[in-house]
Amino acid sequence: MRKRWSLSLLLGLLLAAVMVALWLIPYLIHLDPSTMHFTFWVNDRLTVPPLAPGTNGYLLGTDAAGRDLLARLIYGVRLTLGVALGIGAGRALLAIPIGLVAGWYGGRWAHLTTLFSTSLSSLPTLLLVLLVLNGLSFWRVKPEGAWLYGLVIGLAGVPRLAEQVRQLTGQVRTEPFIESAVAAGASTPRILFRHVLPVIRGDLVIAMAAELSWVLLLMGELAVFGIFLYRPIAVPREGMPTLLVEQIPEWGQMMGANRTLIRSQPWLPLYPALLLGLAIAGLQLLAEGLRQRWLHH
Amino acid sequence: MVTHQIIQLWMRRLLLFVVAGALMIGVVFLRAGIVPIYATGSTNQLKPQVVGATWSGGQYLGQLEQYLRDLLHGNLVLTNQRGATSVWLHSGERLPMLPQIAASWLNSFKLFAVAFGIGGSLGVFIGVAVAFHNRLVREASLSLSVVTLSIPDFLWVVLGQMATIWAYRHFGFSLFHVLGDGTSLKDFALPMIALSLMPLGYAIRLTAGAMEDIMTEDYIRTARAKGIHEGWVILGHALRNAIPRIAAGLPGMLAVVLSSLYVVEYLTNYPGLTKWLETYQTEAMATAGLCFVAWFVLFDGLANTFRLLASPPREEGLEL
Repeated sequence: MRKRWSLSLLLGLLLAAVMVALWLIPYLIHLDPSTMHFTFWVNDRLTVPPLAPGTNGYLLGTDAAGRDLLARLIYGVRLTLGVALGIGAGRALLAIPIGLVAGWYGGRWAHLTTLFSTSLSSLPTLLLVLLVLNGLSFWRVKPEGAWLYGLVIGLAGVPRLAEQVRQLTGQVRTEPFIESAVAAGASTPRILFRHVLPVIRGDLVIAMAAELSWVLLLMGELAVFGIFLYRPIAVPREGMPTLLVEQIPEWGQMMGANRTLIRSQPWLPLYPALLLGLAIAGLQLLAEGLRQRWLHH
Repeated sequence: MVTHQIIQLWMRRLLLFVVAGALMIGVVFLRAGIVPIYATGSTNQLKPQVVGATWSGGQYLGQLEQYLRDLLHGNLVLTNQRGATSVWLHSGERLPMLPQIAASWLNSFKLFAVAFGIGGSLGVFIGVAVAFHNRLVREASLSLSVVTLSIPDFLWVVLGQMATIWAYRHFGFSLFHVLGDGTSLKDFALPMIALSLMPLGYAIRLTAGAMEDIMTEDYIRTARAKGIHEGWVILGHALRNAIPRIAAGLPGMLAVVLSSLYVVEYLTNYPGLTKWLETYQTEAMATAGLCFVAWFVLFDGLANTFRLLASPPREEGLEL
């Protein structure tokens, strides 16, 4: 049967290609995302940032510290997707072995995995992560506290992914080729990693695409509440009030730190939110498209 | 059999509430153990300079114990310690906390109920339309479902805010308020629309999937062969049998909408329960968190009860 290229898959691939292109742009063009400018000459008048899109050659304008917003958004793809990939990989490294073992041995292991997964899915992840990160604020503000941010977001999704892997392993476990491997005397780790894992890898790719989108969504939602990788930095300006600006060009942070400016300088939270939203949508569409293409045939 | 499963379900939800609530309070109160370190010989005695902080287990346990005692006796109060974001209090003024949080919860529930009701029922309606075998309707419905489920809640809010800013700048009228206090319809419109999109997409997908499967069943073919009107075949035969499958997706749909509620309320400045999650007063944050957990567990339990009643499991081992 001819496999279908669904609209979801095409859109997902298109958005993924856009993200890859954004990732590669800094290798081709020199961009400066970090130099601050506290005054500009606009039409022979001394002006303080932020500059509106299109002013003084800044295509998307500048942020409140006079940094080029376009350059920051382009550099942001590396940080945003890099952090999400790191957290997603951490989740997978923990959840896949747990799910494989629980699915293989069944019994109390399977019961425990299911219990954790259903219990956590009965509570809103955002609320849990938000309150935990708020509670850990004393340790989170320290430089090494960035690890806490990744750890809490990563751990929040482990039970759900482990449960998915457990179910997949449980389905494959009774297949004749697995029984043959057992009869041939293969060890359990060998069966799990050499026989079970390759069979479920298609489902895992789909699950990982969906997981990445959940991680990005959680990062974006936490940023709304002012929780991101590093805290904003205070920029002292001569003769003017101190500025609080986002530290690193990460989309969640750029959106969260500037969200209160939606009425006066709407481009500041809009562009990062748009890119973050498109990245999440792209991954969701990719997961959905791959599910339709691989699993429905 | 079903009664036994429903009792088991509610016992688990009760246990979950106790465990999750205790953990949540314990975690939220971690910041109550922070002890600031002041600069020695500070010139301003009223506002001494903070040079660092340390964490004290004793202070943490003391504050936690005091909070639990106040919670049990209903003595929780709001104070103006660094400003309790949502109510303005004069120096030394104390306001009972629980009525304030209850009023916020009512606001949140109003938003949740309207958005869930409108989004869910519109989604079911559109999902049923898919069964009418009109290719255009089918593609449009499924595309709408994909778009509403893929685009995150915060982007819908920001886009809505941008749309109203744009309309105001170009045409002099606002579609709805960018940030409001929830008192007028224009304050309510944006959070309601943003929150109803997720259940809309979810309900379209659930209903359309269930209807497409059911429309190929033998009893549908038989009904058509008997000359029954297509509308009655879809509404009277197919939809009735699709309800258990739609009900099966209800807990997931509730979870998604309740999760989005915090983001939407916060971004639109809606006076719901979320505002207490960002207050400086740890007691208010813990109480609001506890309310959220109770609300979530209760609604998850109700949705699962409805699912069990609509479609009783035939086999052992269905996880509740």
